[in-house]
Amino acid sequence: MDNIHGNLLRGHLEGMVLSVLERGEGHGYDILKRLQDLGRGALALKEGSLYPALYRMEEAGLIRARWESDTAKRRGPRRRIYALTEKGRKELSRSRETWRAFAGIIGRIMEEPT
Amino acid sequence: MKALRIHVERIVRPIRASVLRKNKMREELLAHLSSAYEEERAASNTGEEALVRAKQRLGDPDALRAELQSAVPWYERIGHTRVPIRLEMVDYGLSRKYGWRASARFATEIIGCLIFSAPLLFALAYFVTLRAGLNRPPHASFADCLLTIAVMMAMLWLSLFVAFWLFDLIGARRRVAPWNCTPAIIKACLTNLLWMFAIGLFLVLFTRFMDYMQPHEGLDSTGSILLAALAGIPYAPWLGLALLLSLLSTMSIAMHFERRQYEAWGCLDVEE
Repeated sequence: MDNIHGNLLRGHLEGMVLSVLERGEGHGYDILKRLQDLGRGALALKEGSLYPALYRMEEAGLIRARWESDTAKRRGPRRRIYALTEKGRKELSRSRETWRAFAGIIGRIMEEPT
Repeated sequence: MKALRIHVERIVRPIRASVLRKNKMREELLAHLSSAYEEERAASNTGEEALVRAKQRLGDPDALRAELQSAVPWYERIGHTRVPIRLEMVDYGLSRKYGWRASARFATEIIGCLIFSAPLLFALAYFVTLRAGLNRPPHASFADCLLTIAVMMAMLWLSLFVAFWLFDLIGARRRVAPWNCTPAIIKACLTNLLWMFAIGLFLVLFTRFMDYMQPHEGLDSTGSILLAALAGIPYAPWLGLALLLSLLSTMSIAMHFERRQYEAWGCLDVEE
């Protein structure tokens, strides 16, 4: 399968990030790696575009962030650890329902005629 | 790594947002870029190749900047609208970019300039008085007022000195992180309160002084004039002008503090 590029991902990125964070908190790079692992290498996401999405979700209260507490073990700049909020959890359920409905409708339309 | 910091700075610097938010973006993007760079290096790329690939992975800087900008709340975008370059030049002057002279010396220089231009100021004030229909000669001679002028200048010097000193104090880097992260707009507001006070004080004193020059019954002492001037500050129309100046320069001063924080972030010379 060809890689799924930015335009196709647009509109679904926030739902996917929420879903990844449901499995456990993580920093930006970690979230990206988990997205790529779950996408089995088919997601061709420009890595930087994750951060605007994270900031929007944080502003909307869907996720919360804190700075990494212990930088002594690791060289380099601090990272922010993101976690899902209760509001984010509700939004994730809504996103899943929307996605299922969307995929069902498009799936029926796109199916080859029998 | 400096090249990574410069790349991050090129993306983040033009964004219209608070320093707090931009520093968050800077640190987080740098952390991401560093991880990507290390990963590329581990994949046996040379340093130069790894750098190019890490940057490519982050995406087009212009597109990323636009996306980051769109994630900034509208009120913050408006609050950090870029001000005209000329206004910035004024602030460069105020912040003593050229030489960073001490507060006391700078205050003295301003007073010196005022004394030098005093004849012009008085001529202007006298002209305004005549235009207003108060066609009367001054009651007091210039020599009689020397003490008042001296005290006025001393008070102005003191207020300017305090204003400059606090300006430096407010803008300075501190070891305390929350202070460094205090939004530049708040620091600029604090500074502007000081400017308002200094400008307002001078203008009120000047107005009162011109009143004093007009004929009236009995001569007030220098002390009582200054006290009256201080008491009149809250009612002075000049404060409106000071407030307007203050509003105009708030964002500009905020940008000055922001520049200092850029310097704090790594003294990066980044072409925009």
